[in-house]
Amino acid sequence: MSLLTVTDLTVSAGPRELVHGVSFDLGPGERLGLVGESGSGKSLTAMAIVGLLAPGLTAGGSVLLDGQQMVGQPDRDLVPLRGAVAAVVFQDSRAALDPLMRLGDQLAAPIRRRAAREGRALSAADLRAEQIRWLDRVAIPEPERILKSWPYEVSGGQRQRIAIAMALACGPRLLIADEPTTALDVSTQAEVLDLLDSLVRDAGLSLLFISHDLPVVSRVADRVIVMRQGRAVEEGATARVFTDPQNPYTQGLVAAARRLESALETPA
Amino acid sequence: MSLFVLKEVSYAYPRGDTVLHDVSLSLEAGQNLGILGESGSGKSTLLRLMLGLAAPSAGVLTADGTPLDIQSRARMQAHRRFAQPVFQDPYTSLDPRMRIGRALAEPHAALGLPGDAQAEIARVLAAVNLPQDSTRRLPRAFSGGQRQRIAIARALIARPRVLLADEPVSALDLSTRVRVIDLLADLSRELTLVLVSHDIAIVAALCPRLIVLQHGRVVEAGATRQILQNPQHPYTRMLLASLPRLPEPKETAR
Amino acid sequence: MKRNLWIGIVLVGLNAAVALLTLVWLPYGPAEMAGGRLSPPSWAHPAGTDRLGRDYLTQVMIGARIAMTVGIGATLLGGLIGTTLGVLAAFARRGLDDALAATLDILIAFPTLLLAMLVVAASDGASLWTAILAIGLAMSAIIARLVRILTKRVLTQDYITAARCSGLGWGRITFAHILPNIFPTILVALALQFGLAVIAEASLSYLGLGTPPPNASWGQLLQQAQSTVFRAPMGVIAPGLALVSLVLGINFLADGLRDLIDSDGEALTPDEDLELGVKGPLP
Repeated sequence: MSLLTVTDLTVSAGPRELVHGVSFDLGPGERLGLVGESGSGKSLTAMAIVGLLAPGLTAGGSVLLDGQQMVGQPDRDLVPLRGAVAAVVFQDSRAALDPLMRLGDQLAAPIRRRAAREGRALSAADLRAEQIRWLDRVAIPEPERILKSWPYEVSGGQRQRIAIAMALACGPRLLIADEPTTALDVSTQAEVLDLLDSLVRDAGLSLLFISHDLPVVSRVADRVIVMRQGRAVEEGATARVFTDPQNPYTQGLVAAARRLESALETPA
Repeated sequence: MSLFVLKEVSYAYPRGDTVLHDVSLSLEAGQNLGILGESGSGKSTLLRLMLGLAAPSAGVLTADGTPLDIQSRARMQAHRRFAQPVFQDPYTSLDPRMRIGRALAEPHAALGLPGDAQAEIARVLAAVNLPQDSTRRLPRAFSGGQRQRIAIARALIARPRVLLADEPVSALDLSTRVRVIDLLADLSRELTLVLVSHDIAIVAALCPRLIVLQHGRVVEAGATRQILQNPQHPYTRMLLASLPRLPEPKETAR
Repeated sequence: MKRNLWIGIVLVGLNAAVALLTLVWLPYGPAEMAGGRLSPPSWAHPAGTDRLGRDYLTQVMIGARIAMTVGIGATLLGGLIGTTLGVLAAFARRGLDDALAATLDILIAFPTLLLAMLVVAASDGASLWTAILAIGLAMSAIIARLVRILTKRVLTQDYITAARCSGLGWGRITFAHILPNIFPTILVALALQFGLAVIAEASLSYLGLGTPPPNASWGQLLQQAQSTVFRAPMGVIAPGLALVSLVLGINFLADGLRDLIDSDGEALTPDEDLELGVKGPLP
């Protein structure tokens, strides 16, 4: 059974429809990329899935997340699902972390929530061990020092790793990553992508990866949906879509990306 | 004669960190130069020094044959006509409350440029492929790619010999990005481009010469073609290896 | 959604119209004992008369003129001094800027009332002008702090660097780029400050630090009518209502202006009519 079934999803701002009926399935362990340029509606689609649309935006159609309808539900019914079923990593890790809270305390929150959900007692020592284990898993050196640090004291790459640790510490089955490496340097991006890749694989998570960057998506997703102006214009296996695109828009995108890459072989 | 010559240029913030250490480079006419670096490499500071927005704390920066003295108003007015900037973010590089016509007329008047302002505005709008009636509009009427074209048009008013561009396409969508690169390639037949970027592919597309900056030092410099084929410094190798690539197209797909 | 703006314009416009009217016409002379003492509202005296037999409506109308004069005067003064100081502070060197910022914070904490007493003590007694000066000075500190922050924000924008590279000096950058971009926000702040100035003036004259009689302001009318509030409630109600209508109107106006500016900033999407073919797939 699918973990996520999106059927005819629309997102509207008042009378103006921004996403016009998007449908797809995501099974356990699958990795799906949502690709598109600005205004394609890819991020709106992702936010509608977890019921995190900005005020003034409304979703229509159906989003079944682990059998639970997400569209049109009051927020309090969705809160338990966030983290437990689906967790989100955003582009801007600076905004995702509370600037007035030590990183250790921020990481403790999802760990406690998960323990409470699973009915486990969590001693101070257990919590500490879990915190360190998570920082280890996202390859953060000196975890003891980082736990006591403030968000502004660590680099952008480290903040994004901690945001990933927080998302995964809730124990979700679906990870939604919205342009998680766009704000990072090329070398940091490669490290964070490797990390996401191995974490998702190890835990058998489903991944919904949103990006405008074709090479980055091809690096992490098995299957992609190309969006344009609120519509899905092409869907298929990543290797097929990026080597043999059928839709004219996708062909244009892939051609543009290939032209940029070709400069590496034949520089000016 | 070289357009720019930097000899062991360093820059330190007043009572602060040194962000550039002994950077030497020369820019030759017609040889676009790429400056490759990640955040904290000092690449934007280097560009600010070349624009004359700050003076090096050590070393000599020569532009158009004479050392750049940012205290001298006459020297700086000449430098503005010699080198113009293009910025990364097309949303903050245009004054949101100034119509395009006025924004383009501004450097023409302030730099005391020859020629009729309206004719010059028409010339630069044509050069960046924007319609002439753009002058009546505010920046918000334009998309990101169009704004970047306007920003380039503003730089072209001064008929500069050097365009100093800081990540000029990294905020743009893929298809827009390719078009702006084409435009810059087009323009660099008549002027010389210094392109600062973290994206090696964009540098490679436009610049036959390349320097790699890491923590404020030049770690590698030379012909782009050679550096791409045979990178010497481990940092350059790592940057190249970090670049995600599209899957190889099948032979039949071509 | 321009309801706030219209309510504001009507209320403030009404007060302004009355204030202008008093320059050419009044029902009675301001000091004229036109009727019986503390007479109730009648056709001849719609708001009744005070304990000296002066017409209340006449006094409230004059009060509108004083309120508008103080409001406009103090706002102009505070806006001018505040904007100048704020822009200068934003341009100042690090140490000087910090010192100026701290000074402004202290000035803002300094009660307007105390400032007014100092101004009155330094001049030959309370007048319309001491009130304008005291309120305007207090306001200038608040505006200066706001302008300093707004200017600093604008200074970080690339279009300022572009203007420098276009050969503009800081003076021309200030007038061509900084002031136009911070003006809408300052305008809203000044509108709110106008309302506060009217209240401040009423408080000052309530305490005898405002305009001297017979040109009594609303605050003074309230103070005088206080002892006879049960016999002639209109003496309190009329100036009270007038004060509320003006302050409320100003606040609606400020809200409306803010909405207008917000919706202005929201229109960041490209115009539909200017699709120049740079979008869409590549050839």
